[in-house]
Amino acid sequence: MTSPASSSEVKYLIESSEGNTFDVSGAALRQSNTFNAMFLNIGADGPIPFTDYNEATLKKVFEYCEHSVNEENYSGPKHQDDLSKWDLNFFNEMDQKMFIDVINASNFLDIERLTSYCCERIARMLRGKNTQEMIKVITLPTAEELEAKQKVEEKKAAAAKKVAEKAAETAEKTETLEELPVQQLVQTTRNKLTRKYLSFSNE
Amino acid sequence: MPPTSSCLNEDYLEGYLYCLHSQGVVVTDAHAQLLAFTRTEIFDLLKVLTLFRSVQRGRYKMRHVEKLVLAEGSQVSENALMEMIALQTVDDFTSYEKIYEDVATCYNWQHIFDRQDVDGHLSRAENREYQLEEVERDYNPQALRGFLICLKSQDVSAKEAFDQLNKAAPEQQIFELKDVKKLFERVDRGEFFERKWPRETWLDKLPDVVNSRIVQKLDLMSRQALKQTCKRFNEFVDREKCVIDSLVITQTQDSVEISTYPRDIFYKKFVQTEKGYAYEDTERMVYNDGRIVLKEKVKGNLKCIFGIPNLRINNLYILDPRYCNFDVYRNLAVENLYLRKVNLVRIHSILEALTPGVLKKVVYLPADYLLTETVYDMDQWRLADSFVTYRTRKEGVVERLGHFCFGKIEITNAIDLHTVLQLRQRFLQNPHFREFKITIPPLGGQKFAVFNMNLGVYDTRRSDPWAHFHYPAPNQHKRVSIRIFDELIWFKGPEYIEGESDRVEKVPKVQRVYSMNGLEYRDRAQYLANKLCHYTAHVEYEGYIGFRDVHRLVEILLENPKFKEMRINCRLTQYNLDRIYKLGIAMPFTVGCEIMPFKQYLYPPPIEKKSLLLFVKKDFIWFVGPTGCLEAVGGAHDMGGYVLAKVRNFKQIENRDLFV
Repeated sequence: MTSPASSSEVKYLIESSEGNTFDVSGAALRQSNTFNAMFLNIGADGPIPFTDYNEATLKKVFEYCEHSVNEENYSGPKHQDDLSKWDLNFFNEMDQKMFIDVINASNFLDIERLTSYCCERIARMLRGKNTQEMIKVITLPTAEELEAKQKVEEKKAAAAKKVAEKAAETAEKTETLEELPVQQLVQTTRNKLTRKYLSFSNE
Repeated sequence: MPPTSSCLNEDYLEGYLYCLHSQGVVVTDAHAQLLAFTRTEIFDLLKVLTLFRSVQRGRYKMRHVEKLVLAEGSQVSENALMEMIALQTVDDFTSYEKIYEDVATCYNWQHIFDRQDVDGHLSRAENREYQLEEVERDYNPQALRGFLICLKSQDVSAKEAFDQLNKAAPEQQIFELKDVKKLFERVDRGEFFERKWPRETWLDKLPDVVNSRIVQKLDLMSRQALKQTCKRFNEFVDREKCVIDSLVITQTQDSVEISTYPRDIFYKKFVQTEKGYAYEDTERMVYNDGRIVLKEKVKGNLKCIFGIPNLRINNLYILDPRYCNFDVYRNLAVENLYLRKVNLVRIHSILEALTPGVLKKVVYLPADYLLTETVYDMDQWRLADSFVTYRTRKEGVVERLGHFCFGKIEITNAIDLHTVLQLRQRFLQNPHFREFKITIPPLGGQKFAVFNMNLGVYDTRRSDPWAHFHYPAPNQHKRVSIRIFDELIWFKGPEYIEGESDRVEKVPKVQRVYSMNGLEYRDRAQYLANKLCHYTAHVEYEGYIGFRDVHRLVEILLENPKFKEMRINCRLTQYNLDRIYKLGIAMPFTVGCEIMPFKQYLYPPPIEKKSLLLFVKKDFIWFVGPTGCLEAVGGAHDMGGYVLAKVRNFKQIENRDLFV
């Protein structure tokens, strides 16, 4: 569908595991050595299938490639400070599962810079920790733990919902009070007070 | 299946065995049970038997035996200090006052024990009322923990374990019931015992190529920790190559430093103080002859490094390896070896530990000893290709050094023509010969002319001063060139590399470099000064600060007349504090004293009449500059010499926000 000769303006179609296709610029795609080896010289008819990875993962990977198109002279991250704000945000947005998928996809596509950043990030998570701390970092939660975590989250959500409902109710009440005419308001409070007085006198 | 653990040290295991002994387990069963628990044999049967015997004879009661632990964490052991003073007095006949003064200086002149107590202790020792060995030392917390772990492995409840501990170790005050419960909770959480590993890790989901890259980025200690997480990673880390560019073992009179380059892979420093004790780690100070502790620590750390499978060290630099025992290592892959202040026996044992064939270069500078036949006969020597030393003799130089492709040596006695011609013949047999430089005592005019004439150089001023000799077939196009100087004989081979002889002595890059915000600092204090704020902050710093750093910080701050103040909350080691006070970097401070002594530094010209004040205490360092809050020190800048500030003033200031 595209001629390999025309470079950065050219868009390539990528097919994910769900069968969805999306556009990626040639310049971004050329950061993948796998792509360079497979398609750059011969070109591709139709969408390029990367069907081992889902759309979200591939989009994330190519988002990184698009961003780093202009930064050609790369010598690997040396320090946390080497990561730009954008890079930090990029990594912080991902959850653990997505992070693993991104590393795998980046490794398959052979995108040196992204893979190196990911490895450095993991190394930083492990560096300076003792065995017990490392175990905590690297273990995946079991199904029970996930369930328990989900329950806690549900409880939290329910509690938050209740609080929100209560807040809404009080807001409604104040609104209705505000809407009542002054005379009626006086009458209702008077009624309430008499009811209270009666209940006290009965006791 | 009973729990297992292979990460407990010997102190723990002694406590474990003590527990088994108290339960009436016989020696063989105890050994078998311990072996099942540790899975590797840390205590052999004989060792268990010896321990059981000393328990029976009442010599081992889970107290410190070999080491006299003076302080653990923040707690100073008065008994141990008294014993140390008594031991020193009895052993060296040193006067009591001097030792007492020494110890008190270390503790900022705190009166940590009564003099009467020490006198009593001394008199008992001198009157031989009882042997010093029989003095009841403090309980070893690790052994007590080992005792409890043994009970935990038998599913004993915390309450019951506490009761049993109190029976076995009467009057112990280290563990209360709540501490035992906490310890058992830690065990339940997976500490101390090895975990069965049904759980999946997310590193399992990554391909080996990626895991390999991650491991390559880890430092040595993290690698070891990762190895212990599970079997898969244990095998994986062992399979991975580990290349250390430079490993440097340097030793001074009172310290040993092991460091690597690239930085951050490994760095450890152990210091022995003047009084004979050493800092075992940041938590524990031990008196038992500091040299032994240093030896143990160095041994442990080298074992940790050299125990890595697939390890390759490009440059190994050893300066005075008094505490390093290389006899226990074999087949270390080291490419270049740099030795300084190493005696012959050690050179032999070091060379024997290295893999023959991998070792390429031996640099022995400055050479304190002449190498002997035992070294020359080793495979490591014969297969090496470069050698540098400034101390050798002409005898046997052809047989011993003729096989090297590169050499830079100094011969101490006069060389004769025959040796030079023999060397030429030897080099002409090696087509990969590069260069050989021999520094010799001055030849003198006549000998110089004889050498040149025999090599075929008749007039050095007019013709080419180099004598050229071609290799025999099939390398007839290659040649060895020789040039005679008055104090140098220079052989150049077909694979000569220009400048190699200038570079060869250079010790590999070992200086630690600190990086921050993309900038790299070689000066630690400069790095600290920049890291620890913009000269006006109140900062918490968790890293190590030494007395040299404080000194450099003073120098750096004296360059800045606008400096206000900086308070660094950090923990100084006793050694550094001691040095800071002794060298006069800061004034000594006594806990409980009403005044805070500030040391005053005057600014150099042209900023004269301004001063920088410094106060150092165990847990913080406080700099006050010329534009700092003067009331903090009661107008101290106007006073000459040492400055004292009242604590009351300081406390008021302490509550203020020091951020400007």
